[in-house]
Amino acid sequence: MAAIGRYKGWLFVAPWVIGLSAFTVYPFCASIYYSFTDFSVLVKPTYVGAMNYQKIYEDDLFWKVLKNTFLYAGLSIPAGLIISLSLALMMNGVRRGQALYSIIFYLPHLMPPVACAILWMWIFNSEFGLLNNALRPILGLVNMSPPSWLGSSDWALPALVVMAMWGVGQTAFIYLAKLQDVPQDMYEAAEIDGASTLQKIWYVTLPMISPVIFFNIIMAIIGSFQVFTAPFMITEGGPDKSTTFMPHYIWDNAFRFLKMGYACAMSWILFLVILALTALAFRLARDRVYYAGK
Amino acid sequence: MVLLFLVALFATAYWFDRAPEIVQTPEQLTITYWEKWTGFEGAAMKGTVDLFNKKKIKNAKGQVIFCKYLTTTQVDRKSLLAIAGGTPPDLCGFWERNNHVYADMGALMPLDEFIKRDNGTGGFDTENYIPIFLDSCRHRGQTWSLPTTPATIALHWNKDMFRRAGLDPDRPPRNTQELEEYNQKLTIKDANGRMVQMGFLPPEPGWWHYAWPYFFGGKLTVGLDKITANDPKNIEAFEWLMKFKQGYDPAMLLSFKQSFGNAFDSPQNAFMSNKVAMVIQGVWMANFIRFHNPQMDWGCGPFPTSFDTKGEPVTIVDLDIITIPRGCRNPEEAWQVIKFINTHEGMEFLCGGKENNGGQGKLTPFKTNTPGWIEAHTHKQLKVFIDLARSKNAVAIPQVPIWEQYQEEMKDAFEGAWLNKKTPAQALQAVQDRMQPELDRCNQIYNARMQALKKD
Repeated sequence: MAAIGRYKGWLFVAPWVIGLSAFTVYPFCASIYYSFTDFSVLVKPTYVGAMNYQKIYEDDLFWKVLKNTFLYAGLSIPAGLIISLSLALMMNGVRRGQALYSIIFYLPHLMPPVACAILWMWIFNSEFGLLNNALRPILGLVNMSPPSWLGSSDWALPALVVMAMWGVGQTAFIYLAKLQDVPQDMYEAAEIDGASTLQKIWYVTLPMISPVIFFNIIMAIIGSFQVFTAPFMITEGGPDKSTTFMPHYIWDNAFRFLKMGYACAMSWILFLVILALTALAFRLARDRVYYAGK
Repeated sequence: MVLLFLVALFATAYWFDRAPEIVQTPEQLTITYWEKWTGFEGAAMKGTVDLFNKKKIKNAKGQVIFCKYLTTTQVDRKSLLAIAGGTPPDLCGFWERNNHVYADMGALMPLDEFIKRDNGTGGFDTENYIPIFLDSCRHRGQTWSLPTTPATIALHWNKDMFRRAGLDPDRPPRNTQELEEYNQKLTIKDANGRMVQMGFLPPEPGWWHYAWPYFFGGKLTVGLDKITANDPKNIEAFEWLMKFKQGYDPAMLLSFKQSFGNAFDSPQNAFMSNKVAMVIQGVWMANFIRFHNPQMDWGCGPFPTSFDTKGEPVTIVDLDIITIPRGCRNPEEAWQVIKFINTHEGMEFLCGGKENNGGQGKLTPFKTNTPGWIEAHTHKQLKVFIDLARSKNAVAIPQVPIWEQYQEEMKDAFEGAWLNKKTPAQALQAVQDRMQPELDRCNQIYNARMQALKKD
């Protein structure tokens, strides 16, 4: 009985351990091996050494796709951070109707990604879309016309970044929870010292919520390097591959072109990129994130 | 104890990790069929399978064969994984582009033995086929599939728009030069300079960017080992396409193209909403015109070429196929379904056009049809597509193993040139430089695999 008691915990977690091993750990490890093979799923993998990695190095399209991915991350992470934090500060500041605002800002996050993609496709429609209908009279004053958002290789990626902001409500919620945790006496002390609203945000609010900001940045890095549904549904990676990001290119190679070995090698590069950026974020955060418990 | 529990869990998982066994009885054997179609096309396919089931055809053991039809999205990818896992269905409905790729990977069973044995029996006869449809199902000397719903593509034009532009509605452009002239007459801008309608817009619908070279006498491959994306005729074709954007603000054209949305099966479709007067489309277009704009007066005919075809118009053959995957448990019974579909009875039901369902509204792959079948068809210009299929200049997709990637690269080349990122020559040279090494690599692996199989 004692032995059963000792291992009871393991018994309870066993289904999860098995699931994780079978569907995450094993594929993760197997993909290392496959990245050194020529593998088309149906035919036995052939070991090719580092050929896939060498081909990736020589693949112009890979570098273009990687650049697109970095550009998307570079635009969407800071934009998402600023907008969600601003929303949270605004919600934190209102005295009445905070619950209503919270619901309004959180609702878009509940929308299924595919439905959301189709909705935005129409918002961005250059002729009949809401956005261009609003922009047309304004730009018309300076004799300009609004862009063909999704049809232009220059504007399609920024359009996807704008669309990504649709779901910032959830991040804003996390900020809001932490904002409400900031002790009021700190603000009072700052006020006595003559701090303005901006100074209070800069010197009190941001340091106090810095662990949450850091958490959201890490999640945003991971999320933005894995963006798939919106570009896949709306632009199919075009025009002229301007919205093809790493996950889409990996998917194309694995399941359309049946180059699973090549796709595995690219997945590992993507993994290392995310790992390096996360490590960099941790390094930079070392002196900038304030943990009250430490 | 924990170990025992884990072993038990793994054993259970292993036990369940098999294709669900369909309960077979001494009287009936059930086989499974995964097919891609949905909507009215899915109903037509299911109806054809129901027709087979009603026949109560028996196998050698005297069991009635019952075919269980299952609509499967992304059927090629899901079947691929099922085949790799050793648990495929008995029948898979694929696209023509899958045929040679899956055959080369050993994912399909050759049908030649069945065909040889049953040819000329029960209404099935290889002599019935328009040759290009059967040839498209063959690869490296063997037959890996048979047609289900064949199609060809043609120029579709809007007769009302022709009339308004002062053109003869019954005389479509006959060559590429005329198509340019028609485009000039049919293109209208409003007072603000915004595009109202166009005669011809090459990116609409944008499904066959690989096909343009054929209308200029170009080619995409030579045999199974040479890519010819940079063939001078291909460059000429792409240069011709670029003429349709000359003189217009690229942003305006993009905006105009965007206004149709991305949906084909929609009243906003460029052709059906009277925005583009001439498009290249397949035999299925008639169905969608009937659904979304039944009042539309339209015509269809061979797409214009830059050269004299001597009465043999150019078209691309587009085909859906039915196959028996490797690892199938009941190949003999699966073949009986394929055989039935490829009789006049099965095929004419499947491809027939009856109001309120009952067919996919396409042509059959056969040289002749049952008297009255064409006349009763909802597609009143079906003969155009049949004649196109019979043309000596009808072309099927190249049977190179990298076809999926090659056609994607051709699409990218078109977009690159259309958006002024590259010249047509540069864009097609880039395709050539990327695709030839890919093809060499695939062929090398295929040859090594064949040699290993021979040794075994």
